[in-house]
Amino acid sequence: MGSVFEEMAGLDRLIHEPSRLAILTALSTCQRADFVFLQRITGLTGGNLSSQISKLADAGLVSVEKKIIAKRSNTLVQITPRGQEAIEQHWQQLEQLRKSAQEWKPKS
Amino acid sequence: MQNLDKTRFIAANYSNLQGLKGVPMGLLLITVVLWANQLHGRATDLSLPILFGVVTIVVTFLIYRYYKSHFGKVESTPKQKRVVFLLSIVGALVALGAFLGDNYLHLPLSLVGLVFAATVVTEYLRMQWIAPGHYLLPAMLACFVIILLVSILPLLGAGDWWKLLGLREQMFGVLVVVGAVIVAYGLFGHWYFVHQLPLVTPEAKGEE
Repeated sequence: MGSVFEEMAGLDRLIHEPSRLAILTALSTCQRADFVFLQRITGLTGGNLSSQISKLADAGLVSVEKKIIAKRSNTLVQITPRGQEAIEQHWQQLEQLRKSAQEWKPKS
Repeated sequence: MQNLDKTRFIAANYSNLQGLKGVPMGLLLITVVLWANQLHGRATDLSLPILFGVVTIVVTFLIYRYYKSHFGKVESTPKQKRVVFLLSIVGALVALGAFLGDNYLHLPLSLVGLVFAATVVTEYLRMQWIAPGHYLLPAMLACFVIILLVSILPLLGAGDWWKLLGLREQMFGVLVVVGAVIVAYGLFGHWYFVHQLPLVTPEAKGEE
């Protein structure tokens, strides 16, 4: 197996899933965002987004705060320092993978 | 694969992409200038500009609620907030200086217009600092060129161009153009933002 494929296999699947990657990427540039924004940016249904956020929260990559504002629940999601480190490392891996893929040639 | 740079750009610049918020402000600028333009001597009755201001505040609040309920809320980092605060203070002071300069120096250009043009550049650089991405470059460049041009038109030999718009002074002409640019950019910004969502394509979501 070539190094490109080894690098691909080395990607953290928890982070690399497209919806979760978008959630972490969005959260990495701000203090925190609410559920509605994350739903609009990912296009996920409410149930699916809740499930993805739970997975990230269980892994300690995001923290969730639920508030009741004007009798309506408001969920705010914030990336944790561990999540910030993980997403930055993931971007570096993706960049490295892109470079490796450009240089990769099949053995004849 | 989804565009991660665009995701980062939109999340980081969410408040700037709420273009409709700028529309009432641009319209306020235009209406106040048109009101001031028809005055002869000192204004004695300020009820109309005050009414414009109140309507602008109410409409801006409603637009804020619209964005919050339809597109959600994003909080900037403390560092981003500090930079915006600092730039606002510096911008206000420079704008005040430019306003006084235009009133007392009678230069063949508009300092207020140049400040607005510089504001567009500063805003672009600030957005680049938060999250690099040239997505709004053509629109911002167009705003910059239009405002710069109307600010220096007398230098280019087109003196009294504001009279073609029925306005008495250069500053009125520049402010009406700036107001129109704010409205146009606001509408474009909103259109751009709405058409980017969602950033994760259905195909990408089906990968796992």
